[in-house]
Amino acid sequence: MNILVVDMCYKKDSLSGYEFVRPIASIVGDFAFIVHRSEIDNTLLHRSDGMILCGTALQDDEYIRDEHLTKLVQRYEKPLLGICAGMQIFCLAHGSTIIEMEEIGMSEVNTVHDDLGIVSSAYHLHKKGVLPNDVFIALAKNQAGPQIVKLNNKTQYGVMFHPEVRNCHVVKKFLDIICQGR
Amino acid sequence: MRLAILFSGGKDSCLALERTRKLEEVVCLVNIKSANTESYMFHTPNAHLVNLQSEALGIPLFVKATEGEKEKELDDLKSALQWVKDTYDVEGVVTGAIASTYQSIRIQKVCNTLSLWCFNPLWQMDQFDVVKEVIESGYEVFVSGVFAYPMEEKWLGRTLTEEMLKELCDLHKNYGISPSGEGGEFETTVLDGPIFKRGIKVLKIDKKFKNNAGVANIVKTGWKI
Repeated sequence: MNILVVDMCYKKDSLSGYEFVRPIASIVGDFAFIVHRSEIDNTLLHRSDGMILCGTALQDDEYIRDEHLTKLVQRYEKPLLGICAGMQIFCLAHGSTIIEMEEIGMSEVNTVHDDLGIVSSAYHLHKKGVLPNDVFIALAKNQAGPQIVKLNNKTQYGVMFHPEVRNCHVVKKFLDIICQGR
Repeated sequence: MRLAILFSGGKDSCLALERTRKLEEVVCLVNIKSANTESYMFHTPNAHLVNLQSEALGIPLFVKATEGEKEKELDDLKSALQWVKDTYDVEGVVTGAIASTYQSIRIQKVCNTLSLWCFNPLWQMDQFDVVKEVIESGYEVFVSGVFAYPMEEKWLGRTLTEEMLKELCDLHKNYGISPSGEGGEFETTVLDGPIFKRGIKVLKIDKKFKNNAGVANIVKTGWKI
């Protein structure tokens, strides 16, 4: 199995990579292939069995201007998990809107559908969020809005919180979904 | 990017500093000196040694004193970070946080208020791996305080070694002690290491231990030759 773990940070091999990319790669384990968003191409996507778009630092909004990445995400048909900044790009690629939405810290989450397991509280670190359009189903919500979304009829998900902190089972469940689909 | 390191003088601060130096420019150390021994945010034994550590590292130090009252100490952190931002043209702050969301959330919020980047290069690391990396990198780490049963007086003043890591593994298995002391079970002071230009030598310590808690105050130091 080959899971692309996409570094969404402001540059390749950044100091933020330790915080937002390595913990995810550590959960994915031997299946992880870390690549910076600037280096993704069709060959890498073709060879992958799934893709995880990681989060990034609070002050980092470079990813929003990465049109190359957004187009690739839009065309990607395999399982995908977008985390925080990754969820924003995932939703943006499918016609949703990125909005100003600051959340820093733990908050309670209400899980509606447990496709990615049950989440009752989660760690948030973002200044922007999304207004998902009607191609997405909300699997979990909190007071600020959707916390887990699923793209209609696809094994593609977005999580607004950071599952590498307190909710590692979400990433593991995503990996299980990929395994079951193979 | 010009960065400041939140520096307690312990092993996590030093490892975070080492990782940062390889990628970005570290322009100063910031130490919040708390008068409150119960502070979850900033209190560390041997805080007075940060001046020597700063000299040994060759990095300027800014110390901000705080009474350490819960949440009010964050105002002191904010004013300290504002000062280094204005003085050193700092764009971001680095911490040695590993797993504590309590500390991390508060520092992230303060940095966000000041439009500073916040970096946590040890975040979510396996805590055994942190200690292992510190030992293997060649840091000389002095145990300056223990604050959890069954850590006894004999731990005070010890140097972190592979052997001690094994003992920490046992304590973790049997008593849930965090191997990196992330839960405040023990505190450390770094005396030497790969990022130090000069090593600090401990010449005299004063141990105080009572009710499963104690500190090894370093009262006299010298420079290694």
